Amino acid sequence: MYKNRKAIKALLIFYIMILGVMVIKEPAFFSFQNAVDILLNTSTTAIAALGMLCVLLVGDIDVSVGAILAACCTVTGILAKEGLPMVVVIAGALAVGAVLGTVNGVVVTVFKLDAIVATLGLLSIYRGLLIMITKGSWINGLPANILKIGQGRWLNIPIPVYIMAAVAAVMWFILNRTEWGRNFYAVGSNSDSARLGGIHVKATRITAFVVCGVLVGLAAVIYTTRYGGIQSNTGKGWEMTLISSAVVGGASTVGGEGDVSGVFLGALLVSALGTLLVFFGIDALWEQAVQGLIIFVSVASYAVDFKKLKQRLRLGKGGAKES
Amino acid sequence: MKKLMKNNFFILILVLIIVMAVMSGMSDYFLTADYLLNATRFISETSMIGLGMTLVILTGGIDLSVGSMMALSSICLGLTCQAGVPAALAVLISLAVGAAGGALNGYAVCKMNLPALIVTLATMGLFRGIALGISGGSAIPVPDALYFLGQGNVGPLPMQLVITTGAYMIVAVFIYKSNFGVYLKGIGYNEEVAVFSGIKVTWNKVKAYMLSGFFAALLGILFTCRVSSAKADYGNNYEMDAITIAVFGGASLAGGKVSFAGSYIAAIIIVLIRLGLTTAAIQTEIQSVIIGMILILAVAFNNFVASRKEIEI
Amino acid sequence: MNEQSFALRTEDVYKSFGGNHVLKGINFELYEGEVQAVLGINGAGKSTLIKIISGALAQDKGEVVIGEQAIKNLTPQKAQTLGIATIYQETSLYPKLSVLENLFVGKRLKKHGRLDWKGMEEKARDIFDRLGVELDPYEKMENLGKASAQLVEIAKALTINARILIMDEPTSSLSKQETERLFDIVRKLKKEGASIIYISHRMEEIFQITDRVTVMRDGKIIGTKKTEEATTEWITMSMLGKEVNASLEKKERSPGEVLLDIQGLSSGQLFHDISFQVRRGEIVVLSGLVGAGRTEVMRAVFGIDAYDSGKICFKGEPVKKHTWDVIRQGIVMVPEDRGRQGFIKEVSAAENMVMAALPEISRGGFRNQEKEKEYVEGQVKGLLLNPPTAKLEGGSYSGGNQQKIVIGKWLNTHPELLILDEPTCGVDVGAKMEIYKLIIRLAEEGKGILIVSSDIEETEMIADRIIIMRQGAIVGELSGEAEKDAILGLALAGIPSNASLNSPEVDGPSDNRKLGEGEKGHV
Repeated sequence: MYKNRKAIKALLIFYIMILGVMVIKEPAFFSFQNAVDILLNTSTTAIAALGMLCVLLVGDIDVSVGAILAACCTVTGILAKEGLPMVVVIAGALAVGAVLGTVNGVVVTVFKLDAIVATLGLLSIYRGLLIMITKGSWINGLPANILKIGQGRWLNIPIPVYIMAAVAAVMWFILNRTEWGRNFYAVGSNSDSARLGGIHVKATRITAFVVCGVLVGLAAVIYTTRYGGIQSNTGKGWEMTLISSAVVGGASTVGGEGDVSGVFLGALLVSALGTLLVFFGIDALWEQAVQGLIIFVSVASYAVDFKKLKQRLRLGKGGAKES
Repeated sequence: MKKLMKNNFFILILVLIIVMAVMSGMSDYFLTADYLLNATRFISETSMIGLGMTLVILTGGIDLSVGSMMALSSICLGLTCQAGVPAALAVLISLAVGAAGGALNGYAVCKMNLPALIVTLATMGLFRGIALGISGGSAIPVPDALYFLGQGNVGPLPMQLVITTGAYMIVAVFIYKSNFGVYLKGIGYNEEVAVFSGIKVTWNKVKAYMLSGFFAALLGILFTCRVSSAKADYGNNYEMDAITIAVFGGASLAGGKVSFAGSYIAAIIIVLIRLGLTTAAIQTEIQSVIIGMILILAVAFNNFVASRKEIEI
Repeated sequence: MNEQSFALRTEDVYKSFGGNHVLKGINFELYEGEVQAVLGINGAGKSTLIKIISGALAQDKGEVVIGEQAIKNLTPQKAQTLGIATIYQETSLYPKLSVLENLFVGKRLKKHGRLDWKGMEEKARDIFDRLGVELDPYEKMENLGKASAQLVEIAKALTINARILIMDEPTSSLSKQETERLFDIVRKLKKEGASIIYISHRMEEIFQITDRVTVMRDGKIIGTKKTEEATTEWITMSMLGKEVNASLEKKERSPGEVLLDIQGLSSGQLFHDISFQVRRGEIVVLSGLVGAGRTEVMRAVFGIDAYDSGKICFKGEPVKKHTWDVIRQGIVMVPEDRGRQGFIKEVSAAENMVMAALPEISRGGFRNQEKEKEYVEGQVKGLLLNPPTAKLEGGSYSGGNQQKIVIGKWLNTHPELLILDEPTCGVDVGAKMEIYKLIIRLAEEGKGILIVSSDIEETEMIADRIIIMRQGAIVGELSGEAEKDAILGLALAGIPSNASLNSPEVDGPSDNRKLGEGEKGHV
């Protein structure tokens, strides 16, 4: 159970630095309300990013998550407006997520296509089909009982935060304490020997896509009920947010590395960025640039072997790139 | 010429002919010179974004930041012109920004050994974010003197067509006829062998990324001059188009195998399908389904023909 | 030992890859409680047979019978539940996972429906104790060295209660003590009734540990004998199908000026205070065990890796820092791992052969087709490339011819010093001889040759001078006429020949062909 603690350490240091600055600069930041808001904002991203983590762990990538989110949101909206019970609505959204995840997994593994390209193609197919079905209309006016999921509170803490905590706990258990969770790591680390070791590699990869789809479906339920309505372009560019969260949290895009706590911290950083910028008095227009910069710096710093760097600087003599 | 005929070039031409035939059957004025010449403006823009991507994919990398770089160069052009810099110099500055952005990508990928996907994902946010930040999100008009770049003609041919085709030809000549091409191909197939063969791996890869940034910036300029103003949201999702074109054109994302002629034709096919569907009043949503299908089928097809080996010197 | 009942049999197993018949009717028999050696040169089909037995490949025809049962559609998992454990060469590990996890992938322990990491750790420590090794179960695999990785491979096979254990070159990276420890375990497992298929190129190990010897050649079993009845001659004859003509014509060569002069070269933990010279027209072999730091020295010379201190001079001039400059100076290197470092499988042999020489062949950065053709055809003829064309994809040539392509690539740059790192690794016997002849010819033409080799016969055959490295330092230098056991003594213990015979570390017959490394990349 080797863990890449580097990312988590770096993120924690970064958080402490930010909080330190905040203590001096903006004590108002430290309110219960603000903390809850940030967690609420993180919830959808964190839940779905854990799904993305599974796909990254097996060495694949899913860029169609934005479209899956839109599809699941639409299903949530339609089912809720039909007045169906909450359980059915949630089950519907998760089922759609699972189906689309399965499609992704099957296309990537069975047809042996490159995951980026295949899910890229599927992204436009899903979006196109979705708008053809919904005619691009917005969905509003959901029944009040369903809105409780996204807007309700228990003990003054929003329900989505509980859901996020539960998902994180379950995912931690799956990824650390179950056979098929560990198989994700094995497949992503060396798929050939995983096959020789008796792991059904294709099935494992498809499962990862399905888990991702289901978690995106769950995020969609929260998303829809939190905002009370959805538009046809929901989730556009969301794949970048999820991949960023996972990668900032130390997940490797070539598979086999990453864990729940890292991804949670990554998602927290990516989602809290907007709020932080406001407190730092930076125009929201710069949010994207700062986000890009943070991904860049964090990934670069995880990759740098500081010991070697020091040695190199000391020596002042380098050959060509090492293998 | 044999070089150009490699990959699935003939199949692409065949697809192109079929697309043309179907389109002309759907609409009477599709096959008119006016319509097609006008269409080449869009076609050229799309091909241009595929050119840099094809180069980077040749080295085994990927560049997601092309769309954002296009926006950044557009804003650079707008702001420098607004600041009173001469138009020609403003164009050069924008192109330099593109190359510099590409160099940043290349440096991070090669020197710091980071995955290209993540680096360019980060710079994708970074470049567009900077474009948004410095422009304040509003449109900036460009001087009339530059309109010829996006709206002018060279003889009967639109400016974009001439520039893009020229760029493709120059790149193709360099790739197929110069050492640079062999080096990039070697790096794409097996980087470690390239290191052991004394190829300047880092420098050649950085060059590929710089060219990608450069062509994205060039497209930003052409696009800005066509629509007469600079804006930070240009080129959204263009990276997806670029990848589609390169892969449809016969590129393998694993590196080493690409086709520039293929990318060029692929861009024509994709834009024609889009235009044709629009002309035939078919919803953009169906178009996106069709484009998605094309992408997946193209990769599947590439995998299928991968077993068929034919190699020339 | 009950010799009547079979632990495993194969009946008339056939296998071909795209028209290439690799196995042609194999009837292999493994008794219960025996250790059987399977021998054969590369391409004889032993790896394919192993893969079929362990379920990694499916046979085209024939049956695998385990115990009394003919097993249909054997998968790796099925094989594992039937008690077949395979120790592959280290490729089957998971670099990003912990040692502990590597041991248990596919057969993790569970308690109350969840993974029992504590239990696994205990079991892992037990196995490590049995093996007598000290490894941190929580260390990340990619941080471990080659020898530790091999121990993990072995430990992995011991985590299941194996009835049949397949060991594919298990000792190739192990020290003497670790090998002894492994043999103790093999004997113990045998006593417990397990059967072991043992693949190795080290004769003395085979005589030491196995009960029977099976020799394969060209996809067929040539014969099986009791080990005590088998002789080295019988084994080599069966493996090669003919008597090996191990002698090479050597013309008198007198070494010329000093080409390469290394003085006090050091780099961290890898090697220290390395000094030697290579002259024109001289073949110098750098001998020693795998991991002695020889490849690392070569990489430093060739500008691949940086070094801490020392001087490398070529013809009196300091050697430049970057590989591309080093090549221009006249030094080239045929790397150890052909597939990963030497040449590109996906492009034609011709393109491989001009890749490094382009600055010389091209005009102003543009390619010169005629000159390229001339260069390539010159090499195809000069190297006797087979098939005699350079137009095929690199990967479609045989191992030996691939090596010729790599050498051709370098000869096109007109080098004066050739560094060859394990030049005949994964090359069959016939092609080996051709490569030796080529190397000698190049030396006769006045080039300096520096070879890293772990193959003692090879070293004895072609070396003018032998430099032996051990644990990152040079421990001795011998003339080309040196005896095998002298080289071996220095390589193993760092002491000259007579003493080595008394050394407790070195034992037994000195006719083991390979000093350290198993042959890589066989089919």
